[in-house]
Amino acid sequence: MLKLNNITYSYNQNSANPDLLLQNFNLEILDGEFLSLVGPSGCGKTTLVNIIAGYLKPFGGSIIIDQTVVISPGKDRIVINQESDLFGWMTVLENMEIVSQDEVLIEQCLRLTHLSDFINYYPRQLSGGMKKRLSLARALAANPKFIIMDEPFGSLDNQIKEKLHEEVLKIVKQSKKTILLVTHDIEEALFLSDRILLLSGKPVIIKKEIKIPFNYPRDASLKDSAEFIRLRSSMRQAINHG
Amino acid sequence: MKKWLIFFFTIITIQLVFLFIPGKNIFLPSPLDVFSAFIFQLRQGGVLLDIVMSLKRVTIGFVLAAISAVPLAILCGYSRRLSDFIKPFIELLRPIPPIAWIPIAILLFGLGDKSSYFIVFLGAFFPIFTNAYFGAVSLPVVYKNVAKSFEISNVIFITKILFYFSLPYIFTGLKIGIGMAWMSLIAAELIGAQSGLGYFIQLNRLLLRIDNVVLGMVLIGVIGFILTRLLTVLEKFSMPWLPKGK
Repeated sequence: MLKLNNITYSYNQNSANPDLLLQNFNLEILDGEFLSLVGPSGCGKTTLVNIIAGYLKPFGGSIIIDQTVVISPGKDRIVINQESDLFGWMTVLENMEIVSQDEVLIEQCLRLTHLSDFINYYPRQLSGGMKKRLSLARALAANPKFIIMDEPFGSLDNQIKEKLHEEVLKIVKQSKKTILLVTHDIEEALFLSDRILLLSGKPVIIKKEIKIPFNYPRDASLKDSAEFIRLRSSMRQAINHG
Repeated sequence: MKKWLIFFFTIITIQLVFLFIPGKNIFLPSPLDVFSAFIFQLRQGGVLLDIVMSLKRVTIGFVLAAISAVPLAILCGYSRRLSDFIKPFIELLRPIPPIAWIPIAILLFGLGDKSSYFIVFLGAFFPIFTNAYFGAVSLPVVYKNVAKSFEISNVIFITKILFYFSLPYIFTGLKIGIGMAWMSLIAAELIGAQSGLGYFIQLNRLLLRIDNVVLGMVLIGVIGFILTRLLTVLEKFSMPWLPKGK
């Protein structure tokens, strides 16, 4: 389990009146769950990701993974970013080999993400969706406990995004990893998650918690179901009208 | 192909100017005069030795500059502490033209080749260092974060991430550096050498053989151009991940 305990953070924490982005923020991510944080752009979602990943040190509070306080980045929490974080000068295989020496695991991850036939390709030779799958494969190759996805599908067009949602869901459920997805896309969060937390405000607060009732496996037709549409509009209302 | 046609057309035009406008060729040799001088020098073999000597000096000085500037720049890009220590010296020495070092070089290394290597080294070092350093400090934060998350060791980070990310910048520095090295060498040979293209120009200036002086200048230009093209080929070969045409 990953637990955020009273996290407080400000970008100008040394000033007399720090403008707090997070104040005593608490969060629990259960093992194996797919949790989404949904909130408008600029509400501090990426800051939260950076704190969980260990890139930013919180002003106060702690991050606890399985009863251990973590203070720096590590292989137990891998982030997949919106912008490409693949090494453009390395082939698909080299991008994998730099994070893991386990050839069997690398092969498994490439097979799982359908990239086995592209090991000698450079990232620029891959489509947007394949690049995301490679980021996911690379994350899985490090065998982390948590994968943190910071708006990973933001730069893709809708068709690719929909297809990738199904693929990603299949892969993460197969790999049994715990996923934290940060997004402003309500539909994306509804389709992928077990649980959604709606964020708002400054400092950030959890405005609403939604448990998603849909079973796995899920496919795109789920988005046309009455329950999906009802949940989507209730979430939209919650975001727009507080 | 088109640019070469334009080039040859320009040379032919200059030659026609010399042929048909009387009085224009009193002081300056025509392209044909320079070509004749080149054929004569080739038969004699003298200029070939000068070319070889200059190339040897520029190669040794340039390679020494590259193998010291690139690692130092990458390490400065990696370590803020090292950068804070090294950069003031670099900034202090960089504005001094290599030609100003000639007296110091002669005092330190005498009139032989070593002085030339030193002057070439100084000419090439700073552009290579500056470009490689700029590349290293331009590494996006996202790559640094990826390296931290995946617990990539410092050695792998420097050699496989920082170095390769900086490679396009390094090649820009090398291309500027080879031009600077060549310019510095000719300046050094004009003053303190007994062979080389700089010496060839200086000697022919004293002999009032302006055709040979211009030949020396043309050879410098052509060899400089060839060296830059060689680096461009090496650049393309070294970075297969870049799209063609970049």
